Amino acid sequence: MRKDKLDFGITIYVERHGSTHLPTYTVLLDDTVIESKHIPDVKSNDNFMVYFSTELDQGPHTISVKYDNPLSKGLIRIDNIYAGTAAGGFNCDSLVKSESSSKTNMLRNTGIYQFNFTSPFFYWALSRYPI
Amino acid sequence: MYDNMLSMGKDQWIKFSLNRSYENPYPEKEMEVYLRPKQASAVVDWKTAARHVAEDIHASYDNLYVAMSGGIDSEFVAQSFFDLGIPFKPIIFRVGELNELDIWWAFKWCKDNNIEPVIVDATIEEWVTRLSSVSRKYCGRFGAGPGTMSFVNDYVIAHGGNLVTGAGFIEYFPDENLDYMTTRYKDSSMHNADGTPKQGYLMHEPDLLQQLSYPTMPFNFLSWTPEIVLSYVYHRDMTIDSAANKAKIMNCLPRPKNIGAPNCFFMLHPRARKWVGIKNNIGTAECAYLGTREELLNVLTNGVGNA
Repeated sequence: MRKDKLDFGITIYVERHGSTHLPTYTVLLDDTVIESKHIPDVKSNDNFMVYFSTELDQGPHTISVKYDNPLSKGLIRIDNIYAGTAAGGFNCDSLVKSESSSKTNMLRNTGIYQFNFTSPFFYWALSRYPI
Repeated sequence: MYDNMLSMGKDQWIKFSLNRSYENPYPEKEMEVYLRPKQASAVVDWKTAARHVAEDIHASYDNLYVAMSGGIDSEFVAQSFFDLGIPFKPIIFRVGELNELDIWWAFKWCKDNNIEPVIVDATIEEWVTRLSSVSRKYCGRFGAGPGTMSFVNDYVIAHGGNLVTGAGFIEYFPDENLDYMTTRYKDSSMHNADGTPKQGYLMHEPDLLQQLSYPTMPFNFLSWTPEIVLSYVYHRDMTIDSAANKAKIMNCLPRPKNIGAPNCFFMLHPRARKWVGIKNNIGTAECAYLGTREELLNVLTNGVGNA
């Protein structure tokens, strides 16, 4: 079965948390950890970008962002997921909430955001257009 | 194999299938078109072949409308009916001011021939919505052509008419007009496995979508009969490009053509841009390969019988 070759870029908005206890975000594709990172305190609100390339089997998939912040006050918000190939791509910003299993893109304390889609990705996106 | 396929043209002589779908996103051939004339055709001059088509359509369909985009193809169709005194109404689609440079030629032809055209208007937003919805319905890489034609077809249906167009024309590749199939993307139907371009004729996805969407319309004047296709293939001067060939064979002035909207529009309009970012990743072909010049001449001059 042909694989779906894709590049993803995830924009995570990070609010200043003002704590020495560093919260963590973890990005997963299905059950595979793509990136896990401590979030340093930022002087002002900031955007973190996570990029990865993948080859997906046809069928349902999930991009997850976990936020682990038991002590400090900060929050993160998943603002956009860009999906692209050499032929181009598009910002899924308008899909970010609607395709979330919890229908929210904002995480506080210990939470998880899940973006559900079906591969081939762009056929799935076309079936939802206008988006 | 051909019996279960879709068809177009007089006596359903062109067979086709659209194989790309949500259920089958990666078919071996995304679309197929086969010329299947039962009888052999003789080479006749282009004007004779066009007269036969006009008379045949006039005999079988009433209340004719001719969609005029401002291009040579549709102008020639209108001129063919006009010269024979066959009644028809020119119909011009106007989308805001996007296609004004194209349709200027259509208005000019109507004015020169003292015929009042029907004008179908749509806003740019309505047009973008329509083209993207057609693309979504059929997993199409093309939107502008089928979207535009859906407005025109809907008008004609509402007025009990039959639509004839300059669409459905088979094109020769490689050609300057079709360079985008190599430069903007590499059309998988028109390139060999080693990346070199095939040499031969093709039919575009929008023509198949139009036939699929409006199967009762005799839209494809320029491929209505095997005879007119044979006449073009035979008379096309292989030393000059298709634009020059059309101007020469159809006896129309050469002209620039945007086909509705310039490419920059699709980069600047937010919803259109988003659609382009998606549809560019849907499939790898925007046409079906028909065969070389020699292969087409062979099948058209011999026919395939009842095979």
